Amino acid sequence: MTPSISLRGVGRRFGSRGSTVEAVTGVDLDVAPGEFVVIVGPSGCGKSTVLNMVAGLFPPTSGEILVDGRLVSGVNPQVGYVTQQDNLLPWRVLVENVELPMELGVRKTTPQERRARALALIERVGLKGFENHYPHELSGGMRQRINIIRTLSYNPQIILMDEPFGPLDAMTRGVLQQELLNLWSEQRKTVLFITHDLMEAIALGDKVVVMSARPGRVKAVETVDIPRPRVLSEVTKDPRFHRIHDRLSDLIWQELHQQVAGAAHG
Amino acid sequence: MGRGAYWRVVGIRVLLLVAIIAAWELASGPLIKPFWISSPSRIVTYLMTAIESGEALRHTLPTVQAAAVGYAWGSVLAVIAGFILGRYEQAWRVAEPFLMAVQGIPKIALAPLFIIWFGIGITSKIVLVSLIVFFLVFFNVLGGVKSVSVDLKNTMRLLGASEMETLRKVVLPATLPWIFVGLRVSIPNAMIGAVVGEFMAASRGLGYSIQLHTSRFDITAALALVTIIMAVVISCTALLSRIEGWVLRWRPKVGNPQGSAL
Repeated sequence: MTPSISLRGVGRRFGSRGSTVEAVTGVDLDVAPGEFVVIVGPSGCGKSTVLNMVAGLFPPTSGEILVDGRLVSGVNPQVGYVTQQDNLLPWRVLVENVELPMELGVRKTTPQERRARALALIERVGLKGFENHYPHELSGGMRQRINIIRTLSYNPQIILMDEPFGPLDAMTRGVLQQELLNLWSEQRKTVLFITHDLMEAIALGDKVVVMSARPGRVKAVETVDIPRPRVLSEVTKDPRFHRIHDRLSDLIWQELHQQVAGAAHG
Repeated sequence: MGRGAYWRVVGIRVLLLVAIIAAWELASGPLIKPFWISSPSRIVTYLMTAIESGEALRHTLPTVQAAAVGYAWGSVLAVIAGFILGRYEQAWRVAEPFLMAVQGIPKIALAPLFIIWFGIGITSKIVLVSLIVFFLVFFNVLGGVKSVSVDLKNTMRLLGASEMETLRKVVLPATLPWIFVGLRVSIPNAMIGAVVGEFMAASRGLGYSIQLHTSRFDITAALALVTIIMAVVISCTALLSRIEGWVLRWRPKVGNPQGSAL
């Protein structure tokens, strides 16, 4: 089966005029259709760079990226991207924000169709009654829910998520993680998710990819054999969860030590 | 600010206005000759007569027309230019020194030239007002277009939006608050342009009429006409505030909760 997302020897250098920074190097990674893969790594390891290249925001400087077997060349509107900041349009009420992707020429729908879809999704994430509120009137957790369903609204088969719960408080994050698990079990989309939170990575993912410090490389890939559907509060009590967590956190600590040592000597 | 505080402010404003008018009225005569400062009652009497005879309207219309047409031209051109130069960095770099140079001219200084070039009719005033308004609106629009959130533009890109769609759905709404800032300061300045243009040469209009009455030392008439200008500016600004409040209703209510004074 063709992987949904495939990275082969992907590297990316930034900068110009002599001073270049190698953000990632030699990244190989396959994400199967319907698979939930989480990339975890210390900050600055180039996780977001990988995601942005898969989205087609900029090309790799070496290697190649294939989405659905086709070489990525520019932004692909069939791929959904959930950003860390909610990036809602402040002049649109919630329902209009969810409708936004469906208004665009690449996937034009009728106004009735998109209104109905948007309202259904808003209800699905428990925000019924807030359809006509402006983003600034809502909490960060509510806005991030809207950000997520805005991406789901046009039904992309591949969704990229860049630390979507990063800016939220711990409690809200837990609730949204569970909601994401539920949504994913219903729709089974291919997800490539980025986080620096190892617990989140194991709780959500089928596969956890640990990246090394800069330049980012794939340091380890761990399959999470905890069965689905998962309930967050149960998952963290599972012995398999702890086994994976211990192993990977050792790896990540090693990385951090090297990074600190490198910074001290370099 | 609560409701009570709001009404207190309004109350103090009204008292202050009454005090100023009363002081003026009382000073006129015993303290200073009415010849110099006229008086509120004289001005009101004059205004009533002028309104009744149609004289007030006869002079107000051409001024307001010149100001309004110039305002429309100036702001529309400024918005278009602001969007184009905000979008094409190269074009802006080429145009910047020229626009800055013209910006540096007190536009009023060009009024006599415009009379020579465009005649003593309304055209010269319209051109002057357009030029004044253009620069007031243009730099606001440019600032607005350049400060549109890169994250929002990227979001649109990721959603597959075309450039026109991003322009319509993100750049334009994000720039609207800036456009309104320009439109607001342009109202009194448009009136200044029209009136000063009429000072130079005209056969009708508030500026012409003020000039005429001042040369005859008719202070009452001159101040009455100034009152008309003030009333026009205040009502237009109030109208614009209403429109702005409706168009920008999505903005969080911060700062001055009682809204603008106008």
